[in-house]
Amino acid sequence: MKMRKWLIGMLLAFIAFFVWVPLWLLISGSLMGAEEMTQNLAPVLGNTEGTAVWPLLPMYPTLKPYIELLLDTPQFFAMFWNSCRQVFPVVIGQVLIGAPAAWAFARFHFRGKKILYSLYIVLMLMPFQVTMVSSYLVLDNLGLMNSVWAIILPGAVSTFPVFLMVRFFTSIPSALTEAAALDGAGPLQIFFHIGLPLGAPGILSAVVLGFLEYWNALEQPLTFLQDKTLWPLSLYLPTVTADNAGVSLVASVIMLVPALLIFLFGQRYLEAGISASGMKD
Amino acid sequence: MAVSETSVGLTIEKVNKWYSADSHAVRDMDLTVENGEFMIFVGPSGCGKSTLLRMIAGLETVNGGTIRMGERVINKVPPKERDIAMVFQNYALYPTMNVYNNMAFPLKMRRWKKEDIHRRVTEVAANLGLTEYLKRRPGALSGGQRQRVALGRAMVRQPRLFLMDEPLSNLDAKLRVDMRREIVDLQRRLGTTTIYVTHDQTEAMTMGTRIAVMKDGVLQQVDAPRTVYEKPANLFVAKFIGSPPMNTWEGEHRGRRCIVGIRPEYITPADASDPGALRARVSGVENTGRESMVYLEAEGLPGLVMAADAAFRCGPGEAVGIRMDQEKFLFFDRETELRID
Repeated sequence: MKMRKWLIGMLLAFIAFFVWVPLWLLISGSLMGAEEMTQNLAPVLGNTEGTAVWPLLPMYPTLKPYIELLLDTPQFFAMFWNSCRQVFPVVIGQVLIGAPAAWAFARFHFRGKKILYSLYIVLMLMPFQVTMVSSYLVLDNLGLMNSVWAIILPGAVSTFPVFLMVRFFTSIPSALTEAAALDGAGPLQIFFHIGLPLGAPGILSAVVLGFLEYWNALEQPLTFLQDKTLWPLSLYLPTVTADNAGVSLVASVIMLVPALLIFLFGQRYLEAGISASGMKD
Repeated sequence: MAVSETSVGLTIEKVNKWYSADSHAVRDMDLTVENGEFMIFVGPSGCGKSTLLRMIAGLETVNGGTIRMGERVINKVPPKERDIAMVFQNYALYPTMNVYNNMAFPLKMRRWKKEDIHRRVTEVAANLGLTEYLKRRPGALSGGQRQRVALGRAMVRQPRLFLMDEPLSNLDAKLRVDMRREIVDLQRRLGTTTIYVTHDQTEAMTMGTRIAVMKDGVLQQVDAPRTVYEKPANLFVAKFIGSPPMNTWEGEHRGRRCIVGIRPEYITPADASDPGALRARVSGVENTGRESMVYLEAEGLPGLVMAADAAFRCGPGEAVGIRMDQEKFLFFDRETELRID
């Protein structure tokens, strides 16, 4: 039994190793000086013979790339700010619009509910590429192209958070909402006093998943934002040229941080959300 | 019995409920619950008692007939406007609120002032022995304490009607006995009209002023518990009320074929030499300490149960003499199953 446990542990560690190695190389690379990096990558980037090497630890660790990016690259901050002002409204909108919608789907009986909900699911299952052209046309007609609203509005009314929250709201025992109704609460009060507190894990998991999705989004900003000054951080990395690889690694690390924090803070909800939706992203 | 000022009576007239074309949950129900009365709805699972209760609460729509609270028809009145308090089987306490907020919730919804809420909640909590638990969440309470909180939440606002849907069924036996008495005392003190749904014999017999026995959505009999026990309207009521159930067999009464019934306690051990005694063989004995349930086989009769004194000693396979108190025989029509006087 002990042997088996040990073997399983080893196997998992082996698999985990492959997940962690890129992350480790990313962090160690971000602490590498430009010169060292150029030297290491010369066979790939330059014309020299031999193979590129990537040491586990930098020979001469330095914070210079961080300083360069954080202090000397205003463009990076502009993009960071762009990310924030696109992602937070999306997530807030998803909660403000999605939670009441999900509550209605989970708790009310109305004509056309099944059809409407099926439509939600169909829309949710469609990848961005499928709806891209129609979204483009709608946004263009609304005159929203090339503005942050082109990202915020479609994101805020996205169907996935609704689907996710419906799963959580349906699991609230009906006896609770019935008790609240008898205690004198109207439909809105039931939503605020019973639905929201008890559906909080669902709402939070929608927030976490929504944040991660839009923080890392590439297609939407690329398609809807021609003006590069509106681009979010997720589009910063592709703009970094090979000779500036050190900075790009730092940017990756910094880009990871909010997502990592959100993940650490919301891990419990994230897991609950993924298992409730029965799917993973 | 003092009747609460806010309490009202309830009139149910020709009430029907269908869930689907072939699922008729409540049929032509006619029932009046007097103001201040403690009415018990009893019946086997699926007899429609909970459905009826939920229709009174406004949690189910009424498909036909009228329900009146006092003079007012409430068929279409939403639950929040009925001023009814309900205690649910699984307590239905709000898990994210502590005990205090659970009990304060109905008052907050009625926009009571904060001080008044505090006064009322602490008063009721003290009454129910919940003062030390006010800060706890329901998850940190035992079943009995949760039940008390549910009662407290129903009591804080002096409703016009109390509904209780099998409130004790999740408690252990000892606690159930205690809570049963507490609920009866409480109801007497408050004097609020109460409807209590149960499938438990003892609760039905001991708690209410009247019991309404239901089967397949049809009301079988409404009467005082003792009357229902002694003069059941039909064979179903006779067999459903009383534990162990009444002994029945096919027999004859005044020259007419019918079903004969006798309660286990009216069968007594007798000396085998006694001329009126019947000979029977013991097939099993359950001694509860207070009494002995003796299962018997007698010639020409189906299996009988006798409720004998705990001191009565006998073992399986033994032959015993028994006597049936013929005064206590009940007779039922074979076709309609109604009791024949």
